[in-house]
Amino acid sequence: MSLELRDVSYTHPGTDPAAGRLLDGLDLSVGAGEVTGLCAPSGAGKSTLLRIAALMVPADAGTVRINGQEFSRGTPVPREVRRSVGVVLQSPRAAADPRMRLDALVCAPLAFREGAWRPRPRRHSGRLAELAELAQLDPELLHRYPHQVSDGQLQRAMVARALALDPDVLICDEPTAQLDSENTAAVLGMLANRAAAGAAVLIASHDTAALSGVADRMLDLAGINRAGDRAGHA
Amino acid sequence: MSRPRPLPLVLLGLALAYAVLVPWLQPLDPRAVDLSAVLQAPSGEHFFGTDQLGRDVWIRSAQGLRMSLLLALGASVFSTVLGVGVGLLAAWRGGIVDRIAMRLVDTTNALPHLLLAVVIVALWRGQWWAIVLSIALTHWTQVARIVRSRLLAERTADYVQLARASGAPAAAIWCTHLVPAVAPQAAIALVLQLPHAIWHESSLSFLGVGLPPESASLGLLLEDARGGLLAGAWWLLVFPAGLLVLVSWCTASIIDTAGMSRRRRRLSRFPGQVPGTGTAASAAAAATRSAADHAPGSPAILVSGLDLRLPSTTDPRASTLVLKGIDYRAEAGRINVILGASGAGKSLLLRTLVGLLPAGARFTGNIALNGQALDAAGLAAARGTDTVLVPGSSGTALNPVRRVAAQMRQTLRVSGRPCSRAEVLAALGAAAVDGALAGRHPHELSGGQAQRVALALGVAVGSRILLVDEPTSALDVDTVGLIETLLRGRAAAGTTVVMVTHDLELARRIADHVAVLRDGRIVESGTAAEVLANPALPETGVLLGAPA
Repeated sequence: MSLELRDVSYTHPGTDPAAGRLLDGLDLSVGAGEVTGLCAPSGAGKSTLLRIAALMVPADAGTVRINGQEFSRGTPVPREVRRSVGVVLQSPRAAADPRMRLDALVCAPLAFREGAWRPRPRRHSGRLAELAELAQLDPELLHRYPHQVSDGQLQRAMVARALALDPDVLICDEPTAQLDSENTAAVLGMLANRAAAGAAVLIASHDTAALSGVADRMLDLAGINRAGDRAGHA
Repeated sequence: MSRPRPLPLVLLGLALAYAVLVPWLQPLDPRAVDLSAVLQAPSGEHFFGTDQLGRDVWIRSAQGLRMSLLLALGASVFSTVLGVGVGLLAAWRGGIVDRIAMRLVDTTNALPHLLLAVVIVALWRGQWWAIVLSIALTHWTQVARIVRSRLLAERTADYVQLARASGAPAAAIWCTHLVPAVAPQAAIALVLQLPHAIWHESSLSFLGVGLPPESASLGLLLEDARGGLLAGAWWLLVFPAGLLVLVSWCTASIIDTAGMSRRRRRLSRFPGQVPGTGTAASAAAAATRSAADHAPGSPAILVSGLDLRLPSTTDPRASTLVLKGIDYRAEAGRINVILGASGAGKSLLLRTLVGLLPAGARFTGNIALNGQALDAAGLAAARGTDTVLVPGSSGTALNPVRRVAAQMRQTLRVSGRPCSRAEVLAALGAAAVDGALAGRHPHELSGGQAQRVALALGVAVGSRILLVDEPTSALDVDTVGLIETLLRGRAAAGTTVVMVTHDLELARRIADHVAVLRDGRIVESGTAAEVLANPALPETGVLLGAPA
């Protein structure tokens, strides 16, 4: 139950590696039961780093180790490993399929694990109720489409979705950017609880004040990224 | 959701009933020649007259319409299936398969459709399936293109990547995300093909390469009419041609309305709708302080008794009251902050002020901008000149296919300002957007960078009222400082700034006036010092005190 990045480098496709690597020789490890906060100025590569850690984007070089299994560029990732990683993205509007209701969005990982081709909210109504309770979402909201709820409500649903499979590793990109202080505390609490249950949690946020309340340690991306000195605010 | 206009639907229904019922109720052997009733003008006995062989044109037209519709339907379905198949395959396999499929599309498009169709039909003379095949084989390419490009776009969408990252099998991603995204497009494409296929079939029959002459299709009837016209039998041409035009017009206008309502639905994606729960109306009203006593100038925005109803999601006839009796004023040349919990209706209030409400939403009450009372249309017309809204989810607000600099240049040009490279960079720099970002497309920006670009675009319009929704939600502390300076500068220059935020610290630093929104009601308003230092309502205190 841990996440480890070793010597990770990344350059945006189409840009010259000599001119500006976004990430260079980056090491990072998050132990089981640990909440690590990652802060960096806007544009420094936080989101890219998190997508690499979540195995959504392959790094140019270096390895990502999840629960002891090591992945580098080109290594196929088994579905079981993907299911043990929960991901929350920065913009809930982009991360939620506009054609699916919130209940379908939240329970989709459950259905996919069972090999179903479509989410089946009725079948998972019990777990859905638990998750809605956890995310402090009015159950009535679950019957709405994303365009019918606010950014904050949608982001809480997306956090609930990330928690649906009780992930060992939880990777969150600005999970509280759209939320007010009350909701921020609630979401960070959900993530911290997951860590207390033994998950490795990595949260990127610019809201260092709120984050430091739950994080066991805070990392500055510039401090671990060798590309930081050269690329600057790319 | 708008329903299609009734007239085309009714006419199409009548035409379909005519095409189905008449040949069934009044069977007519096409070979039954009645030389005693040749070329009779329309009468009570023969509504549409008779042709050169004495056959009833009313029945012949119905038979022709039925045949034409069936062939066109077959051709549309077949070409859509073919197009969807090729598009799916190209997007799914990519690489060499994609390249071959797309070259095939180009080749098919380069051939003259009618010529190719004539060749296919000539190979199998008089076979109905040859006509279907000939139309389908020349018309699948547009569908293939639409399906392929839509899929390529969807595949990189965040929600598809998120599904993949959570271990969804490929089949699940297709069924859950990709197929629902493509299906409406394919359905529209199918219906769009229909009128075209009717015309195509008619052309083939008219040229004499379609169905055998004794069977009936609209094209064959028109071909027959050629001879009859010389004998003055206008009815032979007018009725089949009229049917052809009528059916095409009906299908085309039904598609048009369907397309319109789809576009409108897409525009109606908006954040913010709260369940109508709170009942502390009177308490809230009592606690609302009058800001007028402290007003230094006249209000730039004056809202009174604003109720906003959104259509209910479950019952199309019901509606939900989401903004309840809003009385609000924004002081000119000041920074007016609206605070409130997620889902309180903050963004909806801003959207109302710029006339950008979701479909079906209705408001009552008075809104005046700069002393001028405006209705919904007036508010929409003032947008872009008197008012500008910088939306909260800025990442999705930028035009994805144009570079940052190009978007800024366009904004400056439209607002009648100089738009040289230096001006563009200066306008971007005002919102702390680095010059290096000017050449990027929106997808190459981080969340915070996109937010600053959106703000820079909004400010560049130079409107008197600037509405900003959560301008700093994705920014680090240093950049927030730059944005604060920018907003203060705008206010000092006389712009009225209305900012929605949940960042209490930010509000403390820059707000002149503060209003607090809760469950669609303004529960408190006044100068920043008053409201933030000494909240009148316990719930405001909770909201304000939460981060401590």
